[in-house]
Amino acid sequence: MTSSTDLNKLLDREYQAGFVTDIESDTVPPGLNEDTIRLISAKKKEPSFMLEWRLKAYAYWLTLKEPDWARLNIAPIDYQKIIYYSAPKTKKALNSLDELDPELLKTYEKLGIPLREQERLNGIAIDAVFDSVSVATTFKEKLASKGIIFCAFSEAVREHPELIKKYLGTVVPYTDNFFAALNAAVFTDGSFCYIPKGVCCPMELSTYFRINAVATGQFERTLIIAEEDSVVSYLEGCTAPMRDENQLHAAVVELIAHHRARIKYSTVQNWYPGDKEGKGGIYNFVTKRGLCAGVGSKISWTQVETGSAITWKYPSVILQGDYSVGEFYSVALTNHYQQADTGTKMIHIGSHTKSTILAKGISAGHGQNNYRGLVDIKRKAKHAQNYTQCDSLLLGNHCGAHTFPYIEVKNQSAKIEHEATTGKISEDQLFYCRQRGINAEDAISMIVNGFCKQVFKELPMEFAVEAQKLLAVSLEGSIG
Amino acid sequence: MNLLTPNLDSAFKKRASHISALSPALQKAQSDAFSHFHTLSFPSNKLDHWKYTDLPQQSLPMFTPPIAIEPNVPFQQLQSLLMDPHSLTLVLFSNEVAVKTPDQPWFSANPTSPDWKFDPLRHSSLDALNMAFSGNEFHIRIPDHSITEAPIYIYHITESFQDPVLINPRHHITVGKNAQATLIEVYLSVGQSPSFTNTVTDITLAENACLTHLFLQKGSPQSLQIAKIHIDQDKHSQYVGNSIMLGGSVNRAAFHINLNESFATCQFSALQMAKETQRLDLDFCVQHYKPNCDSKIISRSVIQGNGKSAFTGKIAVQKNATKTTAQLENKNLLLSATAEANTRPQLEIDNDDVQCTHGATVGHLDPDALFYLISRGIKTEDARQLLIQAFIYPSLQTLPTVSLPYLENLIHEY
Amino acid sequence: MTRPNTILEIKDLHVGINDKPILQGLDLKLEKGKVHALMGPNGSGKSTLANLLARKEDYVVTSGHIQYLGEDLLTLSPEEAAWKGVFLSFQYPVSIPGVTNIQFLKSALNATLKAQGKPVLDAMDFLKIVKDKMAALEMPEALLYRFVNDGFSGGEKKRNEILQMSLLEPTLAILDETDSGLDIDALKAVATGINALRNENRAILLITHYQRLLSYIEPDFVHVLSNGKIIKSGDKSLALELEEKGYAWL
Repeated sequence: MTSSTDLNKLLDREYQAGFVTDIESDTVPPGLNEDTIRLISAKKKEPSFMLEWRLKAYAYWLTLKEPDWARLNIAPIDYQKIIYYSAPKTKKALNSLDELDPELLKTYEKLGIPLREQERLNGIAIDAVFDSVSVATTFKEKLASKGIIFCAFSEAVREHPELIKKYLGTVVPYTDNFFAALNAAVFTDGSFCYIPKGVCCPMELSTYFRINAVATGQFERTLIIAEEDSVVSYLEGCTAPMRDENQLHAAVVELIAHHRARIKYSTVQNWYPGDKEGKGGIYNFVTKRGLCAGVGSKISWTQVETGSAITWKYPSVILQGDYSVGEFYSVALTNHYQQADTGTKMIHIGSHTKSTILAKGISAGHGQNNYRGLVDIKRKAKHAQNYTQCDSLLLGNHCGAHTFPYIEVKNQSAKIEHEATTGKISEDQLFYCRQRGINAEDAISMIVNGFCKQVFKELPMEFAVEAQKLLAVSLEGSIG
Repeated sequence: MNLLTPNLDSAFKKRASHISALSPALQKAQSDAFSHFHTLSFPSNKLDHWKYTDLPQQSLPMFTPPIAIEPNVPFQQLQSLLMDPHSLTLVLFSNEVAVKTPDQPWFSANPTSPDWKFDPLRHSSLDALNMAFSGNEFHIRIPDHSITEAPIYIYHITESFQDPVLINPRHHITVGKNAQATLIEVYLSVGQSPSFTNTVTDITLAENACLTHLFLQKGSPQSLQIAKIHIDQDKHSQYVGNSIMLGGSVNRAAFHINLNESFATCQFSALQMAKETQRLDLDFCVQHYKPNCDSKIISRSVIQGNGKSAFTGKIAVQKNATKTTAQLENKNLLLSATAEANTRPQLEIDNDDVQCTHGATVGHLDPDALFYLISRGIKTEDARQLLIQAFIYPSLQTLPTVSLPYLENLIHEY
Repeated sequence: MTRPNTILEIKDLHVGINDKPILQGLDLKLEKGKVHALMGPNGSGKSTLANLLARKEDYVVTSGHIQYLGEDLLTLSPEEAAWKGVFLSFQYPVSIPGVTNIQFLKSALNATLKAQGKPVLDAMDFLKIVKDKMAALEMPEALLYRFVNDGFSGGEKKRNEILQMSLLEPTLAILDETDSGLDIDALKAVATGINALRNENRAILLITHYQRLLSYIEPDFVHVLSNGKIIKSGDKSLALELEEKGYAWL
């Protein structure tokens, strides 16, 4: 058996994106009160309805208690020590990338995020968010010609208030949970996307988030609306620099799919995981929910998580329209001292609804991976179907994998199947590969990729490649 | 939150002076227990493990221990309820010994031990309530190296009286080294008024001990039958457990099994059959602490009418428990439009050298299979019965053979 | 490229597992171009020897030497041994769900070529080579896109082993009970594949329980392993005698 030193060597990859950008920021002092919120709203030049909504949310947040973290080990968060707004100082609105602060551009290039030429080659429209502010959005004209709106959330609030008013908070109201309320009060930016009837969005829409300034919480709000018969694929990727103190990320994503519309939302998340001792790293609390409002609508969540000190997110789908479909494909890797509490909720309301959940967890080092899923078949949900598979792979003997599904069925015509397995890479498989000349590192990488294959298949091509690379790097040396 | 239970409070006070005279230590332990109960109150749907139990919160504070026990039902009338009237039998009426087969060295009734301390990880408020009101503990001891050929039957019959009655049976079962025994426990609630049987049982299996256990709950329309069974297993011991719930207003059993030493095994089968407005809840947890232990759990639920079933099945493997094999399977059959099934198979794994799987399904009778049987001339109702029987069959495989005819009848009644 | 005459030399090998002795003084010499059959009753240590030669790390070698191409084999890791031309066809090939056969085969071949300082193959070249070899083994192309050994029949698994041998072109090929679980047709196809791989630079160690395989693959030498030692060696007629008289005869 390979010695654990080899394993450990492989597990110790250096976090690639851990650099800091030297840039002047426009920052509001730390602390949260009504004035902070008014300040944020003013800086964003929001119409009054938006400020009112924020203040209502804030008042509600004050009545709430932080949720109880089952199985997560976290230090308390001091909400008054967080900076709620930090924008890189740009003098005026940008018309083209050439006007973008070169430092910012360099940052994105270092991250391998192509804001310039590359994106023209790949045909991906990119909206870059840097410390709470959307910095540039490419391809606006091409999309605009089809009636597609893809812009910064703050811009949408100003330019398309009627759409915001109609949909904001309809899928995740500020009363939903503690972090949803906080986000509603202090969100600074995010992405807005609207696909009109019958339009198939010609390119993948992408957003990159980055948390840069010290002690900044990042509170994005994303809203995607797909009208009847429209199709859109959206990619969200995230990175953060190395810091000593933990940083907070509390985002809200709302998706609405009308009749026969299809929304695919993919995330490859590579937040800073904390150093080997578990210091630093990102707290990642996200509320993501899709509403399949229309008949035959479909929402797919696909995610690959390989970072963040603490992850807590449950992308969910409300299957309201008859014949609507919800999908959740996830690979979560925890290493060093990372903890993840993730999973999904599929709420079946309409009839003939279908949901598929495929969750793969890989635990290495001292990582702890929790899957928490809910399949809820309501009384009136006739002929609902669900298939769930949760598989956990343990690499090494200091990590843990925990599965907590909840299946609640109130309609007898439902058909529900759930399976879960936990184990390690078998010695036999490893020996077989090595006997064929594939060294242990590569063998593990190959087997783990095979383990994740069903999920990677669902990712858009660019993400699939990135995800596989990320996984390979994260896993070097993980033999049990 | 302090609870308003005037009946319980006065009942407790009345007993307290009496107990205090006999054993001040016991009185103190029971006072502590009662105050823990008060602080926690009856379990509600807000507690994760009681999420689906639906205890009737309004009526719970009305229950009170019976004042005098006089069995109202003549024993002869109960003959039909017994599996084998000629076997090793203990019949308890509302927790008082009514009948005991003579010459039974394995059974003794002792005053409740004051050695009890509330442990928030292990005890719920009902454990505390049980301790607070427990007068007697029943011990069943199977000596080392003994093999009891005939099963031991214990019938717990709770009657209802005019006032809602609360019984708190408390049992210790020990199976010695290399000993083997079969234990059949039948909890019957009879009568039309509300009754609440709140049982706490501890089972200890010594090295190489083997216990086959049937825990059967069958209640009356207004009965609450709640049980907590805690099992500690030593190395090479085997526990073959069966939980069968055949209704009552609420049937709940929480089995917590600790595989404390290597090579201990646990095989557990469960069957729940709910109808009308019955609530059946099985809360199962097996903890693997040491290497080389195996556990296998198979469970089936059949629900009709406005019945509701709940199944929580946790397999927990601790860090040092290498070479663990554990499997859990729970399947649910919904037979009516208003039936409800809730299932939560869970895995908590902290060791990599394991093979653990679980699976759960919820569905209905396969219309194709039904049609196939009917097309071969089988009457619809019989065809349904056949399919239901086939469905529950795997959960009956580890039952003590002697209990099968008895159970067949009961299941048929359902 | 010519090889030294002696490919493998085992001298007085003592091997145990979990404190239980298995091989108790094994001597064996394999020369290039020759096929040696190793027979013996169950539990005699045949698979132990096979897995040890492929460098499985569960065993403890208490004494003795194994020289492979003049080098101490026991210092090599499994992949190093593979790169130097050791190949084991497994008795029970394991399945690797999620990894396609083509991905696996290409990775294995390229890893070996790379370690040997040879140029690696690109997708197109590899595909051509593997398709030809599969055709020779009567393997449908679809097996390339299935997961490694996942849901393969016994015959398909063994053919997959021989396919890999054919791709990797080993110097020492150890075939562990290649005939187990095969019907006549599969056996014939596998044997044909193995015979096609006999050449003057390669040594083949054929581990088998039954004589049957040896009717199709004629060995140059037959050895009988019993209680951890080779108790008798001879030519192919020894196998026929064993078939008639059984192992107890020895």
